[in-house]
Amino acid sequence: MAAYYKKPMNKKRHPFGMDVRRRKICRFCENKIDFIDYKDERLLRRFVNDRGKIIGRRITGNCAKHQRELTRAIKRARQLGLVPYTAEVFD
Amino acid sequence: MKQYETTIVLDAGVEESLIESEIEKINQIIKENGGKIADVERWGVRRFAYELKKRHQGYYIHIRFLGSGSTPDKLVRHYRMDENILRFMTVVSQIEAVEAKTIEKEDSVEESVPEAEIDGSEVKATADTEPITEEKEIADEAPPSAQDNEAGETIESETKPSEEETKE
Repeated sequence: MAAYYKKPMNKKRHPFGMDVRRRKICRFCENKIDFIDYKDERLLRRFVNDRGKIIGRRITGNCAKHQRELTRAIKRARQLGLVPYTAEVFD
Repeated sequence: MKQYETTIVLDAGVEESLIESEIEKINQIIKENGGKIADVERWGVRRFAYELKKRHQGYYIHIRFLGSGSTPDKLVRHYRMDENILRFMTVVSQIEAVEAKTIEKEDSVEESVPEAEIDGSEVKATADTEPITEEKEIADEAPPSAQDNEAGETIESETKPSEEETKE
């Protein structure tokens, strides 16, 4: 390790010694995407887990507004059969 | 008049003539209600994410049109009657709403120009360059097939406001 170590900006110390994770930035805000297209299957698939469930904001780091838009887009895509409602997981 | 998008899913093994006639029927309904088709996109055969009416793939047709408020209802009635259509969906086009917003934003930028004339040009310049970087970022992250789609839309949203500017 180098002698110089800069502490990450948002990394605070929790009172009980646990590391507080850096807050993720909404990637839609970052890229200034105004609306999420229900036709963009590739994009939507990234926000759905292998069971077909919509991945929560806590995991993806999306902001409330974009999560709402995303949810709507996924639900529309599901109606058209582009994105699964549920999927079997074999393991 | 609002801009709508309607998508229908036909059986994958459907004949070309039937696809044509489906599009023609939809066109007729839209015209009867005083609307106009803006764009017909054929996505072709796509695999379903789940089994749909005992089928695993379907032929997708996506139509954007301008229409009155009663048009979607009429379309739904037609879709329900038509046995070739496996699935359908009509939604108000969000692209239009987003464009309207960006136009508003640009107007507010133009209004602020007279207050600070020298800075105004800089503001405009940055506003012009921003969409390009946006596209690059999207292109970097999005997989190849999604690229065209997203890029196409961003180009559309860029060109439309400029048209309105020239009108003014």
